[in-house]
Amino acid sequence: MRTEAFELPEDLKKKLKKAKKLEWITLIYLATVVVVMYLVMGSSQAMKTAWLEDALSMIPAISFLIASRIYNRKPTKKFQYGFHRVFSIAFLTGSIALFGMGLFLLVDSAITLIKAEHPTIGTVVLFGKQIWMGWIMIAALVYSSLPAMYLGYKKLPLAKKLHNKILYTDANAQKADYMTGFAAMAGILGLGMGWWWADASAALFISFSVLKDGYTNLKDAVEDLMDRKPLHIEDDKPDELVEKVEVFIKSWEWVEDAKVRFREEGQVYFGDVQLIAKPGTDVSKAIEDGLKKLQGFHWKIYDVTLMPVQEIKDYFRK
Amino acid sequence: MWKFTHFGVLLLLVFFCGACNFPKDPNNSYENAKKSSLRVGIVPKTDSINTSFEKNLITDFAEQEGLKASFFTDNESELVKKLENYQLDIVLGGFEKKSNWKTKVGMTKPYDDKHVLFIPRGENRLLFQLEKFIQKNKKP
Repeated sequence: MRTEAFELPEDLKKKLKKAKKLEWITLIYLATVVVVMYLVMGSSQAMKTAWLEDALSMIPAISFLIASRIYNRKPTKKFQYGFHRVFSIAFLTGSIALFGMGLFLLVDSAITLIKAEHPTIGTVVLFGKQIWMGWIMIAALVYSSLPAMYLGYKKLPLAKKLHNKILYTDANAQKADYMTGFAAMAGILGLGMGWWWADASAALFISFSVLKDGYTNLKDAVEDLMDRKPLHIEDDKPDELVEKVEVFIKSWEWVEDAKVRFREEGQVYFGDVQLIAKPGTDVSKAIEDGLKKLQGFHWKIYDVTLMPVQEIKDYFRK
Repeated sequence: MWKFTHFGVLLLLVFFCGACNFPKDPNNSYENAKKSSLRVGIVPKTDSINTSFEKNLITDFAEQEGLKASFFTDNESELVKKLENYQLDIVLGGFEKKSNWKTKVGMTKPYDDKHVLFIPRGENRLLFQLEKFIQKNKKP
């Protein structure tokens, strides 16, 4: 059991700092993207969808930045387990927004397609030349996808190291942002070819991808808050760290047998351990020592309760 | 990654095949106007200063583009309905850009600070040509 404020190990602190910086850059960049896209979107449904997606992709960055100011506060009288879960809450909020907007966009785009609305796209005069707005939209889409991809690639390894889901989701979505950009570009080019349906079809495609992301994240966030067993964030495989803790505890000479159970609270794990102490052990002292050893075991193994029992019970029915 | 390049190549192909006469009209309004005539609807209004300016504008436009313009006079809703069904190419009526018809028609950019011409929705080639002309012949 810990009472002090949570601190990451030194090397990860640097990573977190870097991640925060990248998220600030992301936020500022996205703000400019949203403005640019809004100015050029005209009556194109694909542009509208891509625009909303870009606006939405600010949510993970914002929630990460807010949460990363709160998560390591010292536990208070009211919040005695600390504030680690703030990341899970931020993650849930972001995924609900994504899921809801995905649904809205899907319906909106489908209606546009069914009503066979022909988007009217005019022209602008740039440097004395008459230019079809479609070209400007494509330029805006390039601006909205290439830097985003780069940022995504930069953030991904940090997210894995920090075991941080919002950061991971954010990085992953941005890395795949070229799909949205290209779909919207294809829609605009199709429109230029005289295919009025290309625009709404591209929008439909984009909203599918938003909805899919939203659904996956929502499921993940809910399961997280339901105290699911800790998983690796990149491939959803159970984290072997949990088994390692069990092996570690069983290796103590005064322990006859043990069983562990862990849950994720944001970046770190909380859990409890049933153990059978060998006869003749000074149990209270052994447990104190054990807790100290566990605190140095791994930064993710944050808060553990050791329970001496006479008989180990299963945590679930087999 | 393979998918990515695939898509890129396709995009480039579309780009090079189509870029020469971008954008096109889904319903070929501009091409048809060249073949037969530019069908222009006019709303008779008491305040006809704008309408007469617009009529002159379109006559000049047709002349420059080598189109034969034919004019039809009728009430607003009848003309807009015809425009929606691609039976007309342009409707003139001193409309403003915030007109209530804006969900049913396409609009050019204003030729002064607020008045626009109506075209069928999505006829982007026609719009391109018209806006090019309007840009050069704005109302002083």
